[in-house]
Amino acid sequence: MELYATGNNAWNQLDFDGVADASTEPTDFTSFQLVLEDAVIDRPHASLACTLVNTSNGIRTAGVPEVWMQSPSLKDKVLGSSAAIAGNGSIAGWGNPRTSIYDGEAVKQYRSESHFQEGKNQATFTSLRHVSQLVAYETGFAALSPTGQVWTWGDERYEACLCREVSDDSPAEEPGAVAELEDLPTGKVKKLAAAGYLLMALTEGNDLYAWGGHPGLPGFLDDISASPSPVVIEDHDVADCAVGQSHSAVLTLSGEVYTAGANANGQLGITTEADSPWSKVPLPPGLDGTIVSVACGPRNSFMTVQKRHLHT
Amino acid sequence: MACQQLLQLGRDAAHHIREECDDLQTSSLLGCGPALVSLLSRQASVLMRLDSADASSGDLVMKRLEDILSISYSKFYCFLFKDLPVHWRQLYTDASILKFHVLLLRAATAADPGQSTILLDEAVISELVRTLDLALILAGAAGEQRGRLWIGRALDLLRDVWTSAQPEQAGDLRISAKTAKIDAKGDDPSPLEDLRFSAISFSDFQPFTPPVKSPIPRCPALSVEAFQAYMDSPTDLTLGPEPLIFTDLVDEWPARTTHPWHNPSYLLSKTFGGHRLVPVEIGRSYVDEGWGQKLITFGTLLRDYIDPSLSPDQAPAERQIGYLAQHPLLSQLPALRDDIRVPDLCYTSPPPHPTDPGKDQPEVDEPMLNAWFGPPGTITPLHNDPYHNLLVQVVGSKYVRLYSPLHTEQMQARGKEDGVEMGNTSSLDVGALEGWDQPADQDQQQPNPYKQGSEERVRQAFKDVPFVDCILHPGDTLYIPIGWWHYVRGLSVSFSVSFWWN
Repeated sequence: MELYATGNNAWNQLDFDGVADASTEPTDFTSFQLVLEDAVIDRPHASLACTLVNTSNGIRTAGVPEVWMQSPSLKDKVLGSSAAIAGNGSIAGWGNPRTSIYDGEAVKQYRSESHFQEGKNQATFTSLRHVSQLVAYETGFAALSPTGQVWTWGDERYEACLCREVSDDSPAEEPGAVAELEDLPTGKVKKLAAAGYLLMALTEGNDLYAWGGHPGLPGFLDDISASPSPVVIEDHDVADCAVGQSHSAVLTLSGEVYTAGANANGQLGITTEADSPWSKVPLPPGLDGTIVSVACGPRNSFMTVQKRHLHT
Repeated sequence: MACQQLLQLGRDAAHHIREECDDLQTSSLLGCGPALVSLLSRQASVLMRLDSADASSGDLVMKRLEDILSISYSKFYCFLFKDLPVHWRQLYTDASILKFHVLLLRAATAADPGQSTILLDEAVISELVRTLDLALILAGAAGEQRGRLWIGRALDLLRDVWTSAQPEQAGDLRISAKTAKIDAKGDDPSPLEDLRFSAISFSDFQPFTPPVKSPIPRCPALSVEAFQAYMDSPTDLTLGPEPLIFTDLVDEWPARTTHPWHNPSYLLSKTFGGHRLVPVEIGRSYVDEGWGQKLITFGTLLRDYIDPSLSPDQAPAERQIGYLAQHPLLSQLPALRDDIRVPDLCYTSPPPHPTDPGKDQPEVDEPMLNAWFGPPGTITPLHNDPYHNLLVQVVGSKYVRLYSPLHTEQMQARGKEDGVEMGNTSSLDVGALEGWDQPADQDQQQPNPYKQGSEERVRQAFKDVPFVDCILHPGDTLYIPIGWWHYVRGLSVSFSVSFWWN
């Protein structure tokens, strides 16, 4: 398999081979380039300065590791989507913070990485005992249950990201189910993506919905509000989605990648200076295979590719 | 040689930033994480070698500094400002300082590869000033080593470079037409040539004057001892001290005499010819729909919002009200701070909140100063503050109405709105209830006393609540005791300074 990447590389976080010249300042990638090859490449997790990816050779790391990556259990949980770290430093995690045991454990929230390490949780959410995916945005979290129900919680100042009515009975800081994402026309939600002030939900029928927004800042997608609205990209069905600090990447069922949003670091993989609406990303030269997933770091983007010759 | 000094100041900053970052464990930026600290350090390091300005590496440094600014700025929104860790504000400030140095190096190289002069056209000046003002306004110029002190020094030197480069303009305070480019929002304002304002005052036009129904007593300033006694022995022991106006407390202020703030040219001369950036509230009142804040230059504030009559050739554009409100302008502009004096009356021990000790704040070392500068018609809705306040009217007139804390029940305090605590603000619109203004279209989600069939009942009930009121004229100082609800309305172009203390 192959991993392609574009965008922020200020910490050489796109350089898995360690070939960069340490005496010069690394530059960003302005188009998708091949960064890693391995028999197995899972969807990477990219933080601001570091990229982690599970391969047949274990977890490969590029860039400057974040402080929280010193905790092996947190690293595993983040890669496995059972823990997530918000922009304000809060961590939500499912299961025992030190092990990979999940049975009977509720989702807990920690004020910081050190509190996670010490097992000092700030809140325990007994309503959330089974989680298939946990994601974080700038000031809160969203969780997906195995039955396709979406729960959100976080800073009440950014109510649009919660996508639900906040009340005394259903406060912002505690997980609340998002009614508007139930009974969708194309089946239940199978995947969440979030970052910045944008959240996305992908249904089993390959429809993509987005919601969120920040009252003081212009969003980069049209029609984003406190209510989920369908993301329409030329009538394409959506196979995968990812969100960065102020950009997003989508893989269509037909195998094409579209990106939208800020491109200051080249994270869209297209040649435009300004913020861009959905644009089809040109395929990297030499790519011979099928794109199977997309991922976004805060300021960069990734695609994993199943090479053709491995299949034939 | 201000120019050389300014470049040296930047080199020193780069040197110190690198040293501090490289000793990560003791760095005050530690909380930003090793990645960002190393990125900042690397940019400082590149900058130290950049004297022979290599344009291409300068571009990459600039891009990385912009990255750091945008990353740290995003943290400002993640947290309530009071919870925002100071390291994020320092990171923003240090990145701004380095950015200022890159801009300066570019300008110096463009003018003269030997860097003995700096080419300061209006675009360069505006970008330089803007960079530091954003650090002052958004990040509070945090950082013990550089911070506000470094920025103040840099702006002083920049001013010296600027005035010496333009001797013909230094004296007459003119803003050239090109200054228009500095508009922070990239608007396209019309020329500012008419802002020469030779020795004129702001317009004293007063479109509407509310009647004063229950005047606050006026008297010459009390001595510190007499004021302390006034606060300690109130007429009504439950209520505590009541509002009072001092008529001559600030007669000696330079702002009222030798450095007149009513003179637009003077204010421009203290704001880099209007280049300085200030936060302005746009909209009638902070509880109105569509209200917002933006950063504009002081020149734009004067010309487009405060007093359009200053540029009579310009067709008056239909504009919303712009109000420089509750901004620590005098810390941002130390030159204007020199024009006022903190009244000795602030060095007293005022009583606690008369009804709600929960409102009392930890004791402040120094009074907190805020500036209030706006056109006729600005409104600060009925609210109360957790400090005692001396509100000094420097220019123009303001109407103020006050309700005592004993009537808090009848003030219909708001609650939490969009996660922001608004409990100190009343949902009553004094101007609308008095018939001075049309009621503003309120947010449909908020309970609206005017649209629930009880409009008349609210009006009647409110009418019966006793209040005191006044019109403040230049030189007046209003004492607003802690917890008193107050509604403030600008009647003409108005410039006030408030002193909060406890």
